[in-house]
Formats: sequence, structure tokens, C-alpha cells
Amino acid sequence: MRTFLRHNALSLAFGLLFLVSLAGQSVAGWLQLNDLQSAEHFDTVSWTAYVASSDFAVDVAENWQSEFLQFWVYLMATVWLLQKGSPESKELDKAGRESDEDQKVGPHALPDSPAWARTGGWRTRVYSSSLAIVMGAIFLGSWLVQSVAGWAAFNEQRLQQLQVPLAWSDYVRNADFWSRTLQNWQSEFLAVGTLAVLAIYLRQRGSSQSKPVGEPHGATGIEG
Amino acid sequence: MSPLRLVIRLTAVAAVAVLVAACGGAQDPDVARVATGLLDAVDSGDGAGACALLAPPVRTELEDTSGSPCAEAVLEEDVGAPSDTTEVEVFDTMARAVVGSETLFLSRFDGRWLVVAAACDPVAGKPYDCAVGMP
Repeated sequence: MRTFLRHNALSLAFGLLFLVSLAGQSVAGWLQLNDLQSAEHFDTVSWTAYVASSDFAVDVAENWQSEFLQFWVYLMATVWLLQKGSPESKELDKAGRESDEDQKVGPHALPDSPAWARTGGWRTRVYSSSLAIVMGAIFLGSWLVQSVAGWAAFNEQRLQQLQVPLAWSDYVRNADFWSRTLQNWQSEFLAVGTLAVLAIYLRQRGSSQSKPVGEPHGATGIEG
Repeated sequence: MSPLRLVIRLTAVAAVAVLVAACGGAQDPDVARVATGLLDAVDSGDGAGACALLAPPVRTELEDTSGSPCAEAVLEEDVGAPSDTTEVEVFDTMARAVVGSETLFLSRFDGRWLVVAAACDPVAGKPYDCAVGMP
């Protein structure tokens, strides 16, 4: 048991942080919504009704989509784009998808390589991009959920203001949808870009995301 | 099941759940029943019955602005004629019902749909102008 915890501490810790944060968000969002409802003389809602509402769904989904987009873009960008001195970048002569030998696929696979890396053909092609495919699918799914839940929450607000609801096709062209979307995108791109650049000159001893403390600033593609 | 398949399946389930939740409420028959009930009650002179279908803040506002009990004041309002034709749109706690040529807005109070605005006139590019409404 202790070995299992030690070997999976990163995923377990982040899973726990996710659940605690989501629970906290549900309580804070519920209290915030009921403040607004009371101020406008509408009835308050229960916590269970809130977590099943479009208000909660859109607030969750808009952050999910941007996080998964961030990692998808980073995954794809780091295939081709380099950053001299950054541990986030590959070595400067390795831009691109690299050779089968470098990637240990097909005849170059190791005895314990994943089966789809060994077989060749479409399975190896799919497996070679499987992380990006799944991250991209979760991004698109979350963005779709944001658009539908945001549409419902926006129309609920419009009805409170005695306005005609919008069609979904109009909502995805509305400023509310794009404001929710872009305010998340800009912060994700800033954070990733900042990490890639600051990691050239700054260190975190012991972290896999940093170069070793004594590594020169110009060393590229080296993680601690 | 592999972790990848689990993630894909959970995402698909979440997306479908939200789509169903967002669209499913649009058929709520209680909204149409309350909206037509208000028009029927006013049309038949049943002021108490009409007030029972108004949200509490709307009843109070009606009494405050008219200076008379809700059951009398509501019968003075031109809420429109009853009709069999009803279109309903529901988004979470709010709904709009179009009964014939009349538009009413409803919200949930203690789990029941009640009217929060009636006798509404459309205003181009702006919210409806409603004679009966919230404070």
C-alpha cells in the first residue's frame, strides 16, 4: 500500500486537490448565486439543484476546456517549436516528429514497448498521437459543454431581465460565450509561455520541470 | 477498461448529460399549465385563483402599487385572453410562456412554477414592458 501511494503520489495528490477544489467551487458558486437570486427577489436554490444547474456546469466547463486546450497546444507546439535554454523544449536539432529509431516504434521498439508502438500501420500512427487525440477530444467536449451550459445560464439571466432567449447558434456568436472562452485562454497561454521562458534562467531544485540547479542557462532539453 | 477509454467515455457521458439537462426542461408542462391558468382565472373573474399563480414578490408589488388586495388588483390588469396555443421555453429556474399573443415569464418558488411577469408588451431591442412584475 505504501509503495502504491509513493509510486502514484502525483496523480493521487492532484486528484484529491481537484475534488477538494471542485467541492469548494460548488459551495462558493452556490452562495454567490443565491446572493444574486435574493437581491433580485427570486427564490434561492438548494446546493443539489445548483450542482445540477447550467450555472455550475458552465463555470466548470469553461475552465476545463481552457486547461485541456493549453496542454493540447503545448503538446503540439513542442513537436515543432523550440526554446533555447528551456527544459520545456527539445534539443535544438530535434524539431519535428523525429525518426522511428528515436521514437522506438516498429522494428525499433523495445521488448517492453507498448503493443501498438510495435505493430506498425494505423495502430502505431494512432498511438503515436494518442495523447494529443485524447487531450484534444476532452478540450472539444468541454468546450461543447461550455457552449450548451453557458447558453442555458445566459438565457436564464435574460429571462430574469424579461428578455427573449437566444438560440444556441446565436449564443456561440455572442460576447458572453467568447468572453468566458478568451479570458481563460489568455491566462493559460501566459502561464505556459512564462514557465517555458523563466525556466531558462530560474531553477527549482529536484523538480522534473526544471533544469538541475547548476545547469548552464544555454543548455536546452535537459530536465532535472 | 483502459484509462484512455474511461476518460473518453466519461467525457461523452458528461456532454450528453449537459445536453439533455439543457434541452430537456423545454417541455415542462407545469409552465404552460400555470401560464394558461393565470389567464383563465383573470378571464373568469377569479382574482384569488389568479393571485395563487403569482410569485410572492409580484403579489406584494401589485398590492403596493394598486393600494388594494391582490385578488382585486389583478383583475384590473390587462393580462390578455386565454388561448389553447402555448409555447414554452425553460432555462433552469426561469421560463417564458407565449399563450396566444400574450407573453408571461415564470420562475420556480419552493419547487413550483409561478408567474413573475405578465401583461407584457414587447419593446424592440429591449426587455419586455410588463404591467405585472417583480419589484
